[in-house]
Amino acid sequence: MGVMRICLLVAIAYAASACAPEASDPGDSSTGAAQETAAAAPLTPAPFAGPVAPRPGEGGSTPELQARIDTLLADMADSGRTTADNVEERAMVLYDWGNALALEGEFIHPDLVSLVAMVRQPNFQNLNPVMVESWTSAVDNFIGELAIRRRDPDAFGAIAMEVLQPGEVVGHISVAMTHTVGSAGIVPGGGYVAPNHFRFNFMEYQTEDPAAPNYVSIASSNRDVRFEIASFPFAGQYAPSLRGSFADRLFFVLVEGALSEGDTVTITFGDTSQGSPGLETVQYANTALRYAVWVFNAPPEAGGVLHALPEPAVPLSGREAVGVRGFIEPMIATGETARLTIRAEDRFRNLASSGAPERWTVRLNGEAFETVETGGEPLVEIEVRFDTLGVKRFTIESEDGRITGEADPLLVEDDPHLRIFWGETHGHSGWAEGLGLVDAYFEFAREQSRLQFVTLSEHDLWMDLGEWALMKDAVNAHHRPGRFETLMGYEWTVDAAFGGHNIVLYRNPDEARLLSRQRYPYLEALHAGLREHVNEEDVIVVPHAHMPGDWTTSDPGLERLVEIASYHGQFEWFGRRFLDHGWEVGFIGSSDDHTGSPGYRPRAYGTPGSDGFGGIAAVFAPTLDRDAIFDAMRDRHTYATNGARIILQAEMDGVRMGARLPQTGAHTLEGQVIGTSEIASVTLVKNGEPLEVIEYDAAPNGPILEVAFHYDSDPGGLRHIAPIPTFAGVVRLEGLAASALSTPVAAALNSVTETAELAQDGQSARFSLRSGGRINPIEFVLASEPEPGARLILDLSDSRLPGFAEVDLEPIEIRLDALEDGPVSSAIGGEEGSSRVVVRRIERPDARERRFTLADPGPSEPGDYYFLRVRQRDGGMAWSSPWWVIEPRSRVQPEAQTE
Amino acid sequence: MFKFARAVYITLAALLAAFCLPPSDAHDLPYALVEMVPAGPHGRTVVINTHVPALLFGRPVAHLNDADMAAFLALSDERLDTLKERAGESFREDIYLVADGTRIYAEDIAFPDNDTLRADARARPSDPEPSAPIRLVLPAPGASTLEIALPLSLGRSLILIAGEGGEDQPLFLEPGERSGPIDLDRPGGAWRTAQVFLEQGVLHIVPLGLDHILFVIALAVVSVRLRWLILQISAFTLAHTATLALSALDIVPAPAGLVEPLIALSIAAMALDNIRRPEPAPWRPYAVVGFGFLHGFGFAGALRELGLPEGQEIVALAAFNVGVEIGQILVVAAVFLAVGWFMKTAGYRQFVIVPVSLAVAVVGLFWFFERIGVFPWA
Repeated sequence: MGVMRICLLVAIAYAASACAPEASDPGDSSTGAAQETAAAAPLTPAPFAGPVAPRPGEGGSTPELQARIDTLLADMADSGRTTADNVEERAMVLYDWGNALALEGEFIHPDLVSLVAMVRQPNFQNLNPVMVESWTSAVDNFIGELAIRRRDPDAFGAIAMEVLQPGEVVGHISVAMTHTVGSAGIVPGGGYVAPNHFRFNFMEYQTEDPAAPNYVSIASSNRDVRFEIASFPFAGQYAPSLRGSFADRLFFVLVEGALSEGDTVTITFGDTSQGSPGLETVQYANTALRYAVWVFNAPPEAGGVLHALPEPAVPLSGREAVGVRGFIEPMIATGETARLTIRAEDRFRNLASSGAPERWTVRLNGEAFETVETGGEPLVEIEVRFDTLGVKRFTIESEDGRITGEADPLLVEDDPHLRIFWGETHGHSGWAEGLGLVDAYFEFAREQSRLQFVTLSEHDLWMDLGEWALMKDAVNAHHRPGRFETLMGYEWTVDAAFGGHNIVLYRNPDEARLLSRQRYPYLEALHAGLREHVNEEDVIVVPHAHMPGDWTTSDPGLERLVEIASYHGQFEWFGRRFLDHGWEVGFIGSSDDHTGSPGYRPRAYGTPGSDGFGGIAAVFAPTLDRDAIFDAMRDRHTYATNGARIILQAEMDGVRMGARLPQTGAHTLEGQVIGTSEIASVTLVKNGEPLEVIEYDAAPNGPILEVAFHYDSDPGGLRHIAPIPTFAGVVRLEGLAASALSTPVAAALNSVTETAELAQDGQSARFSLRSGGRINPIEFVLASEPEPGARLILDLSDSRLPGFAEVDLEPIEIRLDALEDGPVSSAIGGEEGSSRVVVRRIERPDARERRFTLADPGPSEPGDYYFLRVRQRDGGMAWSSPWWVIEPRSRVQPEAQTE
Repeated sequence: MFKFARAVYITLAALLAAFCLPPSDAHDLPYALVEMVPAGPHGRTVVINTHVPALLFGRPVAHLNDADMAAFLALSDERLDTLKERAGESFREDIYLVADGTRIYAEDIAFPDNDTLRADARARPSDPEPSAPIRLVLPAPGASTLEIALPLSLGRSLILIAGEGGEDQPLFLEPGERSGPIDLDRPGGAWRTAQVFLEQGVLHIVPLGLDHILFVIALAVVSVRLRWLILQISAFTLAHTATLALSALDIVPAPAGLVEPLIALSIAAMALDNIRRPEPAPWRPYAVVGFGFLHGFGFAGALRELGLPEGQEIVALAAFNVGVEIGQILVVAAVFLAVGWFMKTAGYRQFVIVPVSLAVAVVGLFWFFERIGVFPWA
C-alpha cells in the first residue's frame, strides 16, 4: 500500500464530493446562473407525468389506468421486450398498476416499487447497460406477473403461516409457511425462493445440516415432485446488501413432477424435526418478523414470472425482566395529572416477557412515594399529581431490590404557557426496510416509550400506496387528542447525489400525499411537487445526516428543521453546514429506529456499537395538539437530543430558541437544564465554534484522570456519513496508579462491545471504545497524587479509524504536570481534527440540574448564529435550535462551496 | 443448473440493487480504485482495488465487522472458491467494456488466493482500506477508445487509465455509471501537453529546483543595474535552453555524473564572485553561459524523468522551457520584492549582497562536496 495509492483514494473521496450537485450561495446572484446550470445537468430527465397519471399520492384502479394497462400490454405484444428507451414510461404504468392493486388490498412484491425508483433515477440513462438490461427485464417480469394476476387473481395461490415453536429474542424459532398452489401451477424449472431479510442480523439459512441451527426444509402434498436446492446471489432488502453481493439466497428448484392448483408446499424455517434448534432470532422483540416466500411458476425462458407471496407476521417475544424504566411526560402544571409508565425490560431493553415483579416500590426524589401492584404485568401505569413546583424524579425498585431503575425527570411549573413535548419524526416499521406491525409502532410510542407525538416515516423507495393508505388509517386510529399526536409523513429516499434522505411531514393526515421519488426523483422536483400539492404552512421537509440531505440548496419555506442526532450517531456538523449556508433551520433529533420501537430503541443489533442513544425531538408548544406541534416545528421552536430526555430551557436576550435576535452587539443566554444524568458541560456555540464553555467537572487537580475520545463525525468533503471509529489499545500510567476505572458513556450505551479494564497493578488499562460523534471517556480514579515526571502513554494500535489515511498510530505520551494548565489534546490518525484524545484532571460532576448564564460580549454582526450544546456525563447530549443576529446569512465563500 | 440460476439472476436479481444504504451498512463508504495499464500484446491489465473479502461476503466495499469477520474466516476453501467463481462470472458479464465500438469481455479474472483473503479480512488498520486486488485482462490491444461501466457492487469508483507515456487519466464514476468512450491515444492533444509541461517547468524551479533558485538569487542580488540583470539572465536562459533541447532530444548526451556537482560549484562560484568584487567582471556573462549549459543538462534530466510524449516532443520541450523561465522570473521578482528597496542605498553591498552571497556560497559548496561524495554520511 503505497502513499500514491492512499492519495488516489483521497482523490476518490473528493471526486465523489465534487460530483455532487452544488447550488448557488443564497444572496449571491452573480454566480447564480452558472451554478444553476451546473446543478441542473444531472437532474434530467424531467419527472415523467404520463398521459393520464393519477394525482400523486392517490391513484387507484380507474378506467384510465385500465386503458393505460391495455395499451401497455398491446404494445408489449407488438414490440416485445422493454428497452432502455421505453422502460421509464412502462415503469410508470407498472407503478400505478401495482399501487392500484395494493390499494385493493393485494400484496405486491416489495421490490416492484423500488425497481420503478431505480429506473426513474436521474442518471438512469447513463448507467451500466448490463444493469439497465437487467432492470428492464425485471420490469417485464413484473408486468408479466401483474398481467397473469389480472387474468386470474388466484393464479399464484395463497400462503398460510403456522408457528411451530414460538420464539424469544436471542433464541430459536420454528415457522412453517404453507403455500397452496394457484391456478398457474408450477412446472419444472420453477420453484420457490426463500430470501432472508437483512434485518435478521445477517443470519443465513442452510439446507445441509438438519441438526444445525437455521435449517430450512421443503415438503409437498404432491408425492411426485422433487426439488433441488440451488442458490443465487442478489441484492436488496432481502439480501445481505442493498448494493449487490455474491452471497446467495436459497432457491428450491422444482426438477421433477409438476404442481397444480390445490397442491400444497410447506417450507419450514427452522425445521426442528431432525435435531435443529430452529432459526436463530434477533435481539429485539417484535410483532412481525417476516419469512418471505417467493414463487416462480416456470423458468424465465418459458415465460415464468416471480411472485412474492404475502408475508404473515411472526411475533417474537422478549426475555425475562432484569431492568425497569419509568416514562413520564416532561412538564405539567401544578394540580394536573401526569401518568407514570413503569416498564419491566429484559437485558436488550425489550418489554419483559416474564419475571416482572408483583409489586414496585416507587420513590420520589428519594422519599417513599407509592407501592404499585402489577399483577405480574410488565407494563403498568400510575397517575401522579403535584401542588409543589420543581423537578420530580422517580426511582422504581422491585420488592426484593433485585430490579431497580429510574424515570425521566418531570418538571412541575405553575401554569406554564409553553411546554416541552417529546416526539419522533423519523422511524420505521415493517412496511419499508424495517420490521414490526404498523399498529404496534404507534402503540409502542403511546403506551411504552410514552412519546407525545410521532411520525411513522416509511421509505417511499419500498412503500406502495396500499401501505400509505393503511398508514393514514393507523395515524387516525392511534391519535389521542391532547395526549398523543400522530403525524403523517414519509422518508423521501434518494442517493446523496440527488438530494439525500429527507423526511416529509404533513400537518393534516387527510391532506398528506406520497410524493415519491418514483415521480419526484431529485430534490428540486420534490420541493416543486410539494409546493404544487400542499400549502407551504402545512408541510415540513427535514433533511438528515445519514445519507445527507443537500445543505447547499434549500426551499426555506419547506425546510424548517434538520435532524442532527439519530441512532446512526451525533451529527452537529450537519446542522452547522446548513447554518453556514445561511438557512434558517432548527434542530431536532429522531432515532431512525427500524425495529418498530420509536422513542426507546432496543440494544445493539447488527454491527457492534450501532446502538447509539438514538434521537428525540423536543418541541415547545402551548398545548398538545397537531396544529400546535406543527406550528412549533415550522417556527423552529425545538431542540434535539441524542435520545436522553433532557429538559432544556433557554432564552437569549429574552428571545426563544429558533428565532432571530433583533440587534447586534453583546448577547446573554440564560438557561436551565434538567438532565437524566449529571451535567458535564454547557457550551455556547457561535458561528460553529465554541465561544464559552462551562465545564462542571473541571478541576486541574481533581481526583480523576479522564482520557476522552472525541470524534466529530464530519465526513469532510464526502456527502456520506463517515464510518464510526473504534479507539482501541492500551493506556499505560507511569509514575502514577489508578484505584478504579469507569467508562460512563460506554456503560450507558453498550458495555458488551465497548470495554475498558484496569490491570491488577492499576497502571494500565486495555480498552475498546467507539464514537459516533459523542465524547467517550475512560475515567481513572487516581490512587495517589502523581509522582514528579509521571506520564500517560496511549497506545492506539488496535484502533480502526475512518478515512483514507494509512494508519500507523504512534503512541501518544502526555506528562501529568502539563495538565495543571488545563486539558491536553492530541490528534489521532491522519485526519487532523476528526478524531482526537483529550486528557484532563476532573472531578465527577454532581448535579443533574444546572442554571447557567453564557454571554457573548460582542461585537456580533448580522448573520451570526448561536446555539447551545449540553453534554451529560453518560454521553446524553442536547442542542438548542439556533438564534440568528438580525437574520440568517451565508457564511460560505463562493469558492469554498465545493466542500 | 448454474445456467438457470444465472438466467434468474440476470432477469431478476440486479433489480433489487438500490442506492440507499441500510443503517446496518452505516460504515459502508463505497469505493473502488481501478487501475488499467497497457500490457503489450494482451491488451490491458486491470487491477481492481477494493475490499475483496467484504465484496465476496456480501458487504460490498465495506469492511467486515467482528461478527462478519468471524463468519468469513469460517468459510471453507471450497465455499470461498465458489464465491470467487460466482463473482468472476458476474464480473465477466457485468463489467461493461466497449473497445472501438465493440463489446468485449474481461478475461483471466483472478482473485487473491484464500489465505490472502483471510489475512486481509483480519487486517483492518484503516476503514476502509483495499485488500489485495482483483486482476483481470481486457483483450483489446491497440484499441484507441474504450468505454467502461462497473457493476453496482463496486460502488463509487476512480478509474486510472495509464497512457503510453505521461500521466494517468483519472476518471470518476458514480455507482454503476458509464464512462462514455475514453480516448486511449495519449496524450490528448498538443494544448493539453503544453499545459502539463508548462506547469512542470514552473514546478521544477519553484519549489523543486532549489539549486536553480539559489543560482538565480546569486545573479539577481548583485544586479543593482537593470542592464546587468538582463545581460546575465539572458545569457543563462540562452545557454540552458540550448543544452536542455540538445540533451532532451538525445542529440548531445549529458556528461554523466558531472552535471549535478558542477551545478553546485557554479552556485558557489557566482556567489563568491559577488563577494569578491563590487561590480561583475567583464568575463562574468561568459561564465554565466557556461554555467547555463550545466543547468540545462540538469533540466533535461528532470524532463527525461517525466518522459516526453511521443509525437509531441517539441511542444512539450518548449512548454517546459517556458515554464522554467516563468519560474526564474518569479525568483527574480521575489528577490527584488525583498531587497529591491535597498539596492541604491549605501549599505546594500555590506548588509545584503555579502551576507546573502556568503550563505548561498556555503550551501553551494556543501552541495558540491556532498554530490562528489566527500561526506561519508551523505
